[in-house]
Amino acid sequence: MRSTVAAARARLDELTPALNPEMFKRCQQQIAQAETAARGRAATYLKGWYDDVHAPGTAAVEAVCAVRDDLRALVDVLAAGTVTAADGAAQLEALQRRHRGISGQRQRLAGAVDHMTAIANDPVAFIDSQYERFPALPQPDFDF
Amino acid sequence: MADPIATLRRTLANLDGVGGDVQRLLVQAEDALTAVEDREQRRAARTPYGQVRT
Repeated sequence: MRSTVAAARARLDELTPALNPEMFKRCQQQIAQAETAARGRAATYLKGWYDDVHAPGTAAVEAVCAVRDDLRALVDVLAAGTVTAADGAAQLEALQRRHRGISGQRQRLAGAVDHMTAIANDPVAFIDSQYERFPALPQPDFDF
Repeated sequence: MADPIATLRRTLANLDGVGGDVQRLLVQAEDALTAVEDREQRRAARTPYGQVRT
């Protein structure tokens, strides 16, 4: 019978009183195999997320460092009075715009980290949730 | 690959650390800009003889 791992665990709980030790052990092994497969799939999924967000995250760090350096330079020229208020205001606005763009990247990265942490904490539950979300995905097959 | 989540958390911590510097510098830049604007306004208010227009 095809089902999620959680559903298989629930079935096994119900069946346990009627099973002999050999049958019970076989069912447990099937669940363990399904859990191992789920952990492997979750690891693949996590790697995909990492690949998607790692490079943009690193680029965001470089970008925010550049904004910081440019801001320091702007503060210096403003303090020295070597820039007009109009030029200074335009430069500051451009830096604020760049910083807002990086803040969006930060939110995406933080969201990915939260999502990945939830998956890593319970990879089997995550894969089970994927079966419920995408019914076309073939669920693991159990003999019980 | 080392722990990918730990790696991303470090990236996030770097972003937040530098982001804090940026926030402080934005305030400093706004204050410095206000000072420049005030200076320009005071300069514009002066007559060619150094008197302040009323």
